[in-house]
Amino acid sequence: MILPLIRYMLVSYSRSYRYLPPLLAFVVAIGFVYSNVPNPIMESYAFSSTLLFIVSAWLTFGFMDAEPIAQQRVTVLHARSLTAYYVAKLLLLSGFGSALGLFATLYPALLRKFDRSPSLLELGAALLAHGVLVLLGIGCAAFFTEKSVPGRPFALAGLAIVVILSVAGKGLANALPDAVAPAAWLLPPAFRVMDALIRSETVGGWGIALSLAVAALYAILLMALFVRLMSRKQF
Amino acid sequence: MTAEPLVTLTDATKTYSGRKVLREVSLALLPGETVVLTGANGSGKSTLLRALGGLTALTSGSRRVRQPGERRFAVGYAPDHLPKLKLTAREYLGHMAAIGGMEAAGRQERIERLLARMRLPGGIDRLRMHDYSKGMLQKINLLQAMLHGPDLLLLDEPLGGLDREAKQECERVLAELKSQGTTIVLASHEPVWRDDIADRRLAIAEGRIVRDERGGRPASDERPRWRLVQCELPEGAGPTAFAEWDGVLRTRPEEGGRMSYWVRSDRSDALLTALLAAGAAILSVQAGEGETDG
Repeated sequence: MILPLIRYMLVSYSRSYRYLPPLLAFVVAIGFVYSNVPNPIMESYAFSSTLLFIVSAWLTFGFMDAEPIAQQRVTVLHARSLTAYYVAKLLLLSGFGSALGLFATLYPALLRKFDRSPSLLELGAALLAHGVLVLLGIGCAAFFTEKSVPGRPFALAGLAIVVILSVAGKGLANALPDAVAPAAWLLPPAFRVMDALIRSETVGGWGIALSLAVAALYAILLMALFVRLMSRKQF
Repeated sequence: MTAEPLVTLTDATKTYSGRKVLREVSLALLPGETVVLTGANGSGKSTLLRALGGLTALTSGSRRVRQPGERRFAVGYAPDHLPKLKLTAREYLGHMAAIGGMEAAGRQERIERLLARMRLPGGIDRLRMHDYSKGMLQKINLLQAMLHGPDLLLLDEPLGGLDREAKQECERVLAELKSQGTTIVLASHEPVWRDDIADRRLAIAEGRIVRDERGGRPASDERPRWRLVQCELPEGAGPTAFAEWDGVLRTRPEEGGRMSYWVRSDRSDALLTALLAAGAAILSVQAGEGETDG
């Protein structure tokens, strides 16, 4: 049931062209960044994965409400499961975002845009970082749908605030008084992944792995909560 | 012996943004019965349909379904307007059939049979649904609801936008489904044109069932005669005022607090008397017959 749902959503979404603005923005930005060579490997990957976090949130915002509500009801009744319906949506977005992550990882490596050839470990870490930040972007944006936030402008403003806090969380965490500093762990940890990649030589492989694991766990919890909330809320 | 209900709502209440759209509705649908649900716009018809189909999380109350044997309970639902998607009818129905778990082998055959039954014009594959006329879209809407041979078929304004020929075709298909034992609930802001298919008539106003009648009216090819009463309602009277008055076929709020009522000819004098007694000013009365569209 999930695969037919994904196929249907993919065909409908591809004909809506809603994916074009975020897709073009991402590809143009990557092309622009790598127009000058050489570039430092992990810092460049930190930038492209953070950009992908924002782009995947943008894609999710446009995709979640792409299907009119009357048709959503019809599709859910055919599928006989709201959970399957939302899982299919999340899987499709994850697949699309991961393809962009693969492009952002391989394009500079294959076309020699770096100051040296990246190692397999660096490539693996970069690929995982892009994938995890795709999931995090989807998890954050999924809550800003028409069903959750009445009014598109409010939803967009809310999502923009969350995205900014997720990316600029390190500065916020440093500015917080010690007593409330642990509250920074509540922020979506995109900034932690970015920071670990930029300071890869200092934090080492385990440091990167830990930041990725925290971000992945955060993203999965967000998505699970979203599916649960939507299934309970229905229409 | 009375059959066990297929779907039972008990004290079903639904609130949207603090407004009660359904108010403690208790309703049991028997297997195989055809129910016509009427009510003015905003009376709660569509919400009640969605509550019966399990598409709405009730604010309070419960919905119980009797599972039909081993297989899962299947609901077919046609919303009042199917969105204009960028898919052809065959693509759309193919996707919906696959999502519903229909095997690839039987899918095509089923879709072709349904398309043939609805007598859609040739060349539908050259157009996507966003280029379809209202009538064609409504036919696809009905077809998708019937795809999986549902136990319960919920139709929201199924005849809206259809010309007379298309309405007759839809009524013929509904009569066939009824004869096959499908439970059908048909919501309409006016009584269906040929309403002999109904076993039960419900009327809803302000979220409450205000009338529940069993037994069909005799089939008749006679076109109903009605009068269109246009009036100015007294201050404080809402658009649902007199919507459930005996004989009222349809209502429509107009600009400047005016209302239009289509009422059966034999009940028009009673409505006029009641309107005048309530302080309404009668602006015009016109006679007509058949459909009340327009």
